Amino acid sequence: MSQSFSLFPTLTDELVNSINIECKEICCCYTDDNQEYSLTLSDEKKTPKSFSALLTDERCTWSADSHNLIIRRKIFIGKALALFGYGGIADEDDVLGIAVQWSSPSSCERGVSIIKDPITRAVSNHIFDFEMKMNPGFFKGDIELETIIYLRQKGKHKDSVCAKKVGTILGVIDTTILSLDGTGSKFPIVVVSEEDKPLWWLFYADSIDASEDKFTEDNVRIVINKAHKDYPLLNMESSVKESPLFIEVLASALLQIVERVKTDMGDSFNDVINDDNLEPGSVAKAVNFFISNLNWRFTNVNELSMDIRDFLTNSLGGVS
Amino acid sequence: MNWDVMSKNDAENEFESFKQSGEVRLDPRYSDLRDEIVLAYNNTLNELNITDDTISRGKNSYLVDCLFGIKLFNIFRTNKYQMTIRDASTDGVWRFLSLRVVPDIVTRRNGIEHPDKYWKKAKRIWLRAIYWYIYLSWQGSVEKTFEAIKDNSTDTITQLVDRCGRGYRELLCRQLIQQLSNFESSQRTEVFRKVMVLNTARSKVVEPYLAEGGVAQYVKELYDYVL
Repeated sequence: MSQSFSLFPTLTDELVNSINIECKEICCCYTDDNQEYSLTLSDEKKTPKSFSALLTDERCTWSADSHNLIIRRKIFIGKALALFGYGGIADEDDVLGIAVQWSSPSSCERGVSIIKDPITRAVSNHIFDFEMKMNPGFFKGDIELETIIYLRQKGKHKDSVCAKKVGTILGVIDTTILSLDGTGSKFPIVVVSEEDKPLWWLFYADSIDASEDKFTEDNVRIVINKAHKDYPLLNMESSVKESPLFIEVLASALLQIVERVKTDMGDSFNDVINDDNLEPGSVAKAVNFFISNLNWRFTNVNELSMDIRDFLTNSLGGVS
Repeated sequence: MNWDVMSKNDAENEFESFKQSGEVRLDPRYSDLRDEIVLAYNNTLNELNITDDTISRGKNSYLVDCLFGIKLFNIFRTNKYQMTIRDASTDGVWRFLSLRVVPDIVTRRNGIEHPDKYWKKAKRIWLRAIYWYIYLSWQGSVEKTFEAIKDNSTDTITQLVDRCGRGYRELLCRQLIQQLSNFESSQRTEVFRKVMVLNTARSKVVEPYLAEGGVAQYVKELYDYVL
């Protein structure tokens, strides 16, 4: 295993503690019809320096293909003085900056998002605001976000041991990994054109194992039939909240999915209730999310149907 | 466009089947796209005055990759197809295109002996490689892009596209290609290799997008260093 060493001082845990830096929780959201909606971070895994989560949308609307992604965060620095001068990572008249290096190997893209406010030795009790907006159709899979401190501007001291080149990365504060293409971030819906078939139906593959197989189009999908005479009533081109009929379709499909998983898993359905050994992104994991996070009553089909409708109507805005 | 995706397993079977029969098992939903790609390839050969028999002579194969790559990139950018980064970074999409839409075009350029060019090694799938080469070399217009890359070589494509790491720095790549065009054709292969190796090392310490003078200055310093 190779090891790297630095020719200049870099951020240490001790320094991080002495400047009292705190990275607040990441917030993710998207715009739909000029309104902003939050995405939920689920399946969280935390360590002192890293955080990972799955992005899900309770409105069952967001899709990385068709919606943007906005990531925001606040970073607080109590007292930046220790970063400068003796024992620090910069000379006294240097200017540091905070940026987020983002990368997504599955999207083959990486870049940097800069936080506007600089860090000078005078910075004290300051909140740095970070925001990044990515267009639809850009990211796929995981995005890794490394919050870094870098040399933004070099002062007059050229002979010290501190980094001299502007842009030098002086330390990573923390790392966040967001998974985009998981459960709940997009409901699998396909549009077909088949004469003499119903307006819609649910495809649920017979061979799937709900606790392992993914909640993706290959295994489970709503099939919408353009050839049906009532297709225009679905108003598919508009936002979901403008389509009460589509909300009913979604509600019925979700009911079928939960009932199907209950039937197929029999006694093992307890694993779904308790989130026991469910594969991330699986059909059963999706049902677990609905039951535990949205409190759907799954023991009675009528109550379940009402809970699903309530949820969809409230989260998708209903129709005024 | 909702692109079809082909798994590696299916791709292997499809490739073996195509090798045996030579028949294109075209999915009818892609017939327009196929027509456009085939036309683009034939036009490329005509414009360069190259035939299937002379394609392997000298720099002909690279010129075909360049010009056809630009045409392919433009086809996928249109409103009709709107290939996104998500689509272009999905290897299964390229396997599908290479084996169910235009396998014969892949064969005309690369022969039939190399499964890598069709499905086996993602970054070596020919259609994928030339698409990303153009995307990462893009200089704002077809003319400027062709002018910047026409005197490069197939080695440039490999050097640029193979080094994905945690993702491409798109603006950096475009600047690297733009400044490479200042060099004589005979120097470019060696210079570019050295610059890419240097960039791999340097970008671990200095973030190119945060460097003084921006990406252009960062890249200039790379080229100055290797000379």
